Amino acid sequence: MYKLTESSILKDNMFIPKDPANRHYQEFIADVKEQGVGIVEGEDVIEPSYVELRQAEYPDLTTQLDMQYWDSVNGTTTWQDAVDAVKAKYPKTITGGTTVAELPQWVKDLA
Amino acid sequence: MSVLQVNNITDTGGSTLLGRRNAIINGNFDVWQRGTARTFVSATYSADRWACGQFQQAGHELLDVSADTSVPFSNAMRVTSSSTAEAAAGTRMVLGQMVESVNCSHLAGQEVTLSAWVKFSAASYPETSSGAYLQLYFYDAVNPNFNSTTPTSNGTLTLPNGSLPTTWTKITLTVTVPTSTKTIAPRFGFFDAFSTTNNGDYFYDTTGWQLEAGSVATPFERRSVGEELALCQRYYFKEDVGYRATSSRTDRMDVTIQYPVTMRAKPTTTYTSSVTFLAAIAFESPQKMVLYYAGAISGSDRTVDTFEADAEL
Repeated sequence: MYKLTESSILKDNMFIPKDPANRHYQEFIADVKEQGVGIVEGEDVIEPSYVELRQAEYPDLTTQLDMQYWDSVNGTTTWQDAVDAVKAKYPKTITGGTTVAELPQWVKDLA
Repeated sequence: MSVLQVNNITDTGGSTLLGRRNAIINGNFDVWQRGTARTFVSATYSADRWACGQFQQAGHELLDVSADTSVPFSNAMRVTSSSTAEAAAGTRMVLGQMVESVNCSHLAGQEVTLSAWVKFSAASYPETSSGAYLQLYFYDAVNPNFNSTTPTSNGTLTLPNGSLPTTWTKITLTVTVPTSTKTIAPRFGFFDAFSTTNNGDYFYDTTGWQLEAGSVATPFERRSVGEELALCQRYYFKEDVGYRATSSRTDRMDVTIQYPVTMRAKPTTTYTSSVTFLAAIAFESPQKMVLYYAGAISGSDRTVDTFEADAEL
């Protein structure tokens, strides 16, 4: 069984590069031609959870402090609105996880 | 001022003895990066650059012949009928090496001589009738896969069953390489696949392999073990000393492994570690490899304990 990764093809504990001169890559191509794409599993796709998504989108701390300062001066809710918007965009129901991607066309074309 | 010009250097037999004659790497079995005693499934490599043939199983192991005055080498390979697995599958006890195209394609159309020292455990093997062979496989393809490619043609020396040499004997094969040849593979083994019931029922020992231009088997070209190791590392590299990951970013740690020599192609890589590293594509090349550990970098060290890179044919 072969497993596609971002950079190479994993078989047992071997990382096989996609190099036509590599003999294990040549054997991978021959095996897929002979046995079909059923022996290949697609790349793992890591879906981020709400934690990672929110962390990436929150304004940086300097900006947030600046928002809080002006909110206290002007009596506005800019900071809370900004944070609430991110929380609403990425609710806690987004738990993330790992899924297996569909095989890329170049693998299908080998069979 | 006079100038001395040397056009050629010959031995007393008249053949050229200039260096770099031998196209075979590790012909005297000095380099065993994968380990010195192994049992194989098909087409697995043993001593550096040497492999079993396709669909063949046999035991390849290092043999110390330094005390044997009948053979002018320190090391040899013992090829055995390895285990009960062969009892069912059959074995031809094959040994071979695929010479990289860039190192042998210039021999196309020329006469070449293959020489090797061999010694069998018995003059006759009851399970086989046709005896053993010394062969040169000729491929029209550049660097074919040793495991799966059928040669275009071959040259063969037959060692008849019943008169297999049981003392160290130098055997030679001189043939003309077809003009279309791009790659050459010396091989040794038995014509018939035969079964054995016990591990090591039969064996042969061999060393001193040399493939050279011309019709004369000249004395074995000796290279220093360091030079031979470097030649082997173009195809395979193993490192048992741990590499410690260093952090280049807040979210990952890298281990950069620089190969001792530029490898033939991007190698297949294998590692052992207490943690799971990922292979990074951006830095992968025949010169080096970067593994990275993706995750929190605080806490204990992340190390790669052993590492192998395989760019064999």
